[in-house]
Amino acid sequence: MSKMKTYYLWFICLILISCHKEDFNSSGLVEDHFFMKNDKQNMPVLVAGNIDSRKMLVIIHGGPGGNSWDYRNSYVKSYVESDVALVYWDQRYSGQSQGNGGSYHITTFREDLRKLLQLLKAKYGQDKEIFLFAHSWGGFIAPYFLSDPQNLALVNGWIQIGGAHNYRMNDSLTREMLIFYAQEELDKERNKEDWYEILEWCNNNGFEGRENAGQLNQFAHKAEGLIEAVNEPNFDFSEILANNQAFLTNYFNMINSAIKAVDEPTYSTPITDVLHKINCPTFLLWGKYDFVCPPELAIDIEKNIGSSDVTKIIFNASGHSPMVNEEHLFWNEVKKWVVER
Amino acid sequence: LIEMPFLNKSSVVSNKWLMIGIMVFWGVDSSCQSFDYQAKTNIRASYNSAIIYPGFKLGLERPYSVTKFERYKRNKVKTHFIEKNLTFSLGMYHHTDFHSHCYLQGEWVRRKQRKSGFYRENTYGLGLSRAFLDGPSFSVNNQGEVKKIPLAGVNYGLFSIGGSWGYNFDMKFDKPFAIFLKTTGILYFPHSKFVNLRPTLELGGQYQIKGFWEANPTYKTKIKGKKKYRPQN
Repeated sequence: MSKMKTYYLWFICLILISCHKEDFNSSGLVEDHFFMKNDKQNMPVLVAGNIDSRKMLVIIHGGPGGNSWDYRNSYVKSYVESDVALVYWDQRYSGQSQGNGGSYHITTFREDLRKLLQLLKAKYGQDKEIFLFAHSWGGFIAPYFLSDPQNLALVNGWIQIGGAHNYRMNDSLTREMLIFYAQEELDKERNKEDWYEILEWCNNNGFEGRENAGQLNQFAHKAEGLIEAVNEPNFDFSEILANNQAFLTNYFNMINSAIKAVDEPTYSTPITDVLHKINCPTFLLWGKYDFVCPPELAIDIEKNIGSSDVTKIIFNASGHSPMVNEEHLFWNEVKKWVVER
Repeated sequence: LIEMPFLNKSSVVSNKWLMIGIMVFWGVDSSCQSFDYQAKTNIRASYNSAIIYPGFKLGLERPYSVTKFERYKRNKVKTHFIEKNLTFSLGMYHHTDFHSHCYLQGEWVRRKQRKSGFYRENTYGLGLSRAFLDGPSFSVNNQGEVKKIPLAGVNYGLFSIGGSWGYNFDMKFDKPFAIFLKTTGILYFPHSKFVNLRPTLELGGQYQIKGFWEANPTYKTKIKGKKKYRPQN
């Protein structure tokens, strides 16, 4: 009987050992979920996709207060993760990050990104090629990070999608673009009431100041929806459930970021002045109808960047998020560019 | 009504009517020795979910006050009980890829128990919690060295408000258990120097263990409405 007990004990131990999951997978299609803790914030990270490709796209999401899981839809899972590995990282005070406190200054966001890249290299190998995939607010964090030569050394390329590298310039361009399209659309007698409201506000207000910037941002999102040429993105609630998203945490972090005005220091940190320090391959992807971060921002990067390897694509049926407006075209261009580098 | 020796019979009768008058207009609080509802200490167990993410909750409920309300209307009397108790519980839910949130909670409960057995309650709670991260956690120092953090998580204070509907089998069937459905909103803090909210849904039961930590709540009766005086034979 005691012999039987010993066998049972060994059997249970064997099951427990065999159930132990490795934190990181080193080959094939991976789906590793882990957290990175820095300065009182626990930031979730998901590495999903083909790690054998040696290419890792680190998503620096929009916001501030957005989340990276929104970029992971069924198309991305099926057609992008099969070719490259995507790194979904929720920034501090954003998405599903958890913690009691910690700094929310832009310098800490930059520090988080550096530590994330160091963690990825330590766990997946120094041979991995890292590309920053920055969208909107992430488009400020990426060049801000890359303007430091030590950080630049960790990265193989920068993909900028509708990014806000210069907030002041951004607000000014948004106002100009709204006025231009409002007049054009009113001439064509389309959505007259909405465009008239936008035009009237823009003619009576400037772009300076937080209040004006907030109103311009609201109008920019509204304007995108009024342009017929912009492809309507597909929204599938089941994909949010499939990603196990904590909706309320996303929501409270978004509200919190707005209350704390996380992006306030960006106004005194114009990245245009330091773009000459960035010499890595750069890929600029913009929606023609991006009122939130107008395409002229891409021209500013083209003019001032230190890199000689710069490619720009404008998507004619897209607004602020070409990755959902023209999904197929967008991801094909990204994959092609990354594979070529 | 107590018959006083210094009062004659007619004055006792008029005193009776005076007392009834008071009862009619203001209601009466009185201590009750023979009460037809006995609140007891209960143990509670429930399936506790953060809507779609599973968990459990175990607790102990201890009543400290029971008030019987009698409402007289057109020769009919409607009775219900307001039971006040304190509940101490340990709860948790597991949200995949996010966290396993474990919490210790004390709740103040106000229950309206009907004679039919159905009840509803409001709860207000305070507690402490730890959200264990669902996944390995790492820190990186300034030299780029990576360290794994064991049992990584975040501690929170929490405040909760809930509502519950249940059926107490003790009222009609003399069985020592009840079943309930409860919704709670848990506000936990500080979450990124702010707050976070988590709704939970519980489906569970409670059971009175005979002789276990006997509760000694205060019993009161409150009468409202016009109680018709019927002289005793």
